[in-house]
Amino acid sequence: MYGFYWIGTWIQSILHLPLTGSIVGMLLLFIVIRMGWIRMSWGNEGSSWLQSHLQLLFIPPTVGIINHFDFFTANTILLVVGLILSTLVTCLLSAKIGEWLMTWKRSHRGKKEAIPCQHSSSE
Amino acid sequence: MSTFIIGIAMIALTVALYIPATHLYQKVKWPILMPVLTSTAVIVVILLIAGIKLDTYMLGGKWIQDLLGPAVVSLAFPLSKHMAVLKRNIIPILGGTFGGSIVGMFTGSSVALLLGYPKDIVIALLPKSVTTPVAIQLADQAGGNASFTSLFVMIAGFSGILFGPLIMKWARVKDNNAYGIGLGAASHALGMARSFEYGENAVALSSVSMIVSAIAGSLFLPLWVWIIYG
Repeated sequence: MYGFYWIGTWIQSILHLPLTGSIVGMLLLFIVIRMGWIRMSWGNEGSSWLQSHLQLLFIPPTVGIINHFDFFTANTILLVVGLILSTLVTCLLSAKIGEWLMTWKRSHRGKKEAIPCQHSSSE
Repeated sequence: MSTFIIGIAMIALTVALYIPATHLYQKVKWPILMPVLTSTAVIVVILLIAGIKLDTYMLGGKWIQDLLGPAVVSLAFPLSKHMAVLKRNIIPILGGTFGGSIVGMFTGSSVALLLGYPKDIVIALLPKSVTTPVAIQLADQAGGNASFTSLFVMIAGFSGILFGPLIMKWARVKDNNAYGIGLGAASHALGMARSFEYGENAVALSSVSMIVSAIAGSLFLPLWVWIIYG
């Protein structure tokens, strides 16, 4: 996985992609798995271990907040509240649109399946 | 050599706090006691009391942080495993994430503009729902103050994982997969970590919506900056 991360970072820096090396590396690994060159069983356990401890990996960058303490003055409290509300709107809207599209697709597929049935009965 | 020993000590400190924090969270399940929050709070207090600089902590901290790259890469495994679910839900993921991203940028920048913040701060907060490494690049390229971006990304991450599930429940979102989309779109990798509680499918969807959110950010941010500042 480190290997793919390096390759991803390298490709990103050469092509100046607006994505990060880690995401490019992930897409590469994804393609390689899809092609069948890497078996799922080789990395499945390691990857789920890494992902179930994702929160550990976020501790150091979060501790970095120590250098931003002076930013928290009266006016910034309002900004922070605004950002929290904005985030929650983002979260809610994404989930709602997602759910709405899921139900829409489900009913759509239902119709598609129903049409050939009607055909066969009429013929 | 001494930097190496300090580094090891900082890693040991972090892991030593993380393990009991995880056990505590699994027992009570209060969002406010999420391991990343409690461990960070304790470390910040220890550093402040002991007068240790952030740079010193980061001697070890950066080794842990460096695992984030490979962790994102390793998402390729669950993605392939849940390919069928993803294929079935690609339109909901794209629609939900793009819609959420646009509204997130609009509302976030409106608040900052109303409060009279300067251009570099406004641009720095636009990519708040995008995963940190991408967000920093985006803010930097658009002329924002990138050192604040990581702070704003943190705010979006934590407020999303703390209150996001509550507000989605309140709005009667029923589908576990939709929780995954909402968390990934608004709170990037932290949201993905939280969506473990909604099952493996939700994690897969949330990792895709995190990626889509990064792509949506790359597309809309320059456009939005151009609309505001011309």
